[in-house]
Amino acid sequence: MLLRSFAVQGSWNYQTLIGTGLAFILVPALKNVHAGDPEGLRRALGRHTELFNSHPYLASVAAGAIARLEADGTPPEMVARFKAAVRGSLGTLGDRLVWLMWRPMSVLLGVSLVLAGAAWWVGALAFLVVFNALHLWMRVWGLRIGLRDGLQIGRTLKGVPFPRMGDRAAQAGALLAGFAAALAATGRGSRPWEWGVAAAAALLGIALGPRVRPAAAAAMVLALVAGLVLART
Amino acid sequence: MTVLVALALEWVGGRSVEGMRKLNVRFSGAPAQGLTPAALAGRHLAPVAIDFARGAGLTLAAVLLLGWLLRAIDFSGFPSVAVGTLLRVSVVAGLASALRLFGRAHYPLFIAGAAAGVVVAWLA
Repeated sequence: MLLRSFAVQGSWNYQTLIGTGLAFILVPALKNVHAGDPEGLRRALGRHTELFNSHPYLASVAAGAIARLEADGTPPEMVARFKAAVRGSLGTLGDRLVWLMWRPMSVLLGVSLVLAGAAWWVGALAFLVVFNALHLWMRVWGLRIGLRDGLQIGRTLKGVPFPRMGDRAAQAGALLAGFAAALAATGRGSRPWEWGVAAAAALLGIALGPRVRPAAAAAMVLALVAGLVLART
Repeated sequence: MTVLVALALEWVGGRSVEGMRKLNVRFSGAPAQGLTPAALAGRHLAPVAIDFARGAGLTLAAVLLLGWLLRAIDFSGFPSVAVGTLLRVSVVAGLASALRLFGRAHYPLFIAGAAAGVVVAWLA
């Protein structure tokens, strides 16, 4: 089930979201529960291909809990209600911690290392190691507590340290953002007047937040295209 | 040039993922009753294989395009100071904008990080 959980988003689509992926994870557990009852197995698989969504790394929590419910002989209607109840919180918890905090912080760590003079592969490796440390832990931990707690998983999720971990990641991220911005502003070959321009750009970035990114990307493209045109003429 | 190709790859990659998700509706968009485990694996793994081919194809195309552009374009007259400054400003603005993501309450840490960055740049 753990290995299958890595492919949970493989058939992500706009109708059942990760429903088919969830059923794919559950196959070993359902085969075990419905051993010698192929019709029961097919019915169970059909039920679990219905709409489901959660953060992909926390889908293992739901899969573990559903496997436990199926093993306990819980009525299908209750399992369906359980799935509907947990999918929102599993999505919110994971999105906030992983996509909003941990991933940007991990990227900034890699970027900071490269800007500080490390080889590009050291930065890439640092990103992969730090990001996947949490990712892999979440999958293993999620499946374990899902299988252990079953219907009581909601109570367990209330006590998880994700908000605290998110706060710590945000603190580290803010520190690294400042570090990387200063290194990029004052890096190799820059002149003092450029530092002032870069400081103004940093203030603009802080003031506008993510809204500045399309403009920054457009400026990069414009600079490169203009440079190439000028280089050819 | 690498940044330019990377930005283009990001844009094309994003659009192709959206297309892939629409295509997946055909494979596994409707809940299916009466599926055997093997049929379910087929419904799930076929999109995985197509997605793998999509990602690998796009990455290969980007690498080949970048290699060709680097060979084909003469950079000798490239106005590196102006372009470098604009690039630097864009990168700094993008990096600083991350503070809003982490919360403005953490600005003392951002300032501390910036001070450390200046010291490291000065020492280097």
